[in-house]
Amino acid sequence: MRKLIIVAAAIGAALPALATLADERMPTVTNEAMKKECGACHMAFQPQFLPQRSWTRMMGDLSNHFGEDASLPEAKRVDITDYLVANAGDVSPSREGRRYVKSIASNQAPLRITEIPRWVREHRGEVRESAWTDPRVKSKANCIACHRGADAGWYDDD
Amino acid sequence: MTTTRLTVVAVCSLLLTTPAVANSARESILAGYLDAAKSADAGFTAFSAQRGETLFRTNHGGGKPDTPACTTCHSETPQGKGQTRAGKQFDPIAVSAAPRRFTDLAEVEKWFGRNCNSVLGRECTPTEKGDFITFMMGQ
Repeated sequence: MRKLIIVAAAIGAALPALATLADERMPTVTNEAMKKECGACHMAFQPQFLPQRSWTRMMGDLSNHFGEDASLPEAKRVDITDYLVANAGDVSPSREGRRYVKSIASNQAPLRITEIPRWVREHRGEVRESAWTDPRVKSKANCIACHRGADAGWYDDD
Repeated sequence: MTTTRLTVVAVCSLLLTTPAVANSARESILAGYLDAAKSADAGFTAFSAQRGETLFRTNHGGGKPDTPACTTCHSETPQGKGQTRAGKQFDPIAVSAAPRRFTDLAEVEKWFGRNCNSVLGRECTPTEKGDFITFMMGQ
């Protein structure tokens, strides 16, 4: 009985931590075209990171995509855009998505997730400047270099 | 699904992964570019691995500033992994190291379409595409 109480107490103590983890988790990307096409060059970032207006803007100018031409056949572009817009942070039930989108001024439609105020806050003071230029990281867009579970929505491992 | 159909599907998937099938798919893509090169220039005879290598290694600088050359992402070593500007590693471009390269026309056209525009600031000609593939087939 004593053992049982100790186990129960341990679980009770761990619960809030687990709840926080689950709360900060981003949903897993489920669109296959998005995983393949976006994922060819970078991690397929969860659509909840940006609001609908950002995705519409981004997917409307794929031939100038962060300094590269990332054009897609029209049917694929539309399929992926629909998925991104339907799951954007301002319409998704994801709480972490809401936090990201709320940190953006309503008259702005940022394209870089790494320039969103919440992203900046979450990384400030936590990452050495030299880490960003490490060849294994190379870019701030390379979430998975540090967050090993990023493609499954886990970022709370820092 | 019947056992027979399952077997057929299994055999087909197996066939698609064999080098022979991949090679024949690549040859057919190359033949398409050869036809196009010949209709653009009646005197055209054959693709050149050497011209393909020059295309691959040259700093063109005619396209977008961050991608002056194919090697910006594919690296100087075709047999080695590439790395995108976003930091993601991807399969080598040399056929010996990645046997499925240049075997799906839609993919080949998609990547030439994007990357020629990014690196050269224009579309590649059928001759350039054929030269490039020919070079990579020998790598």
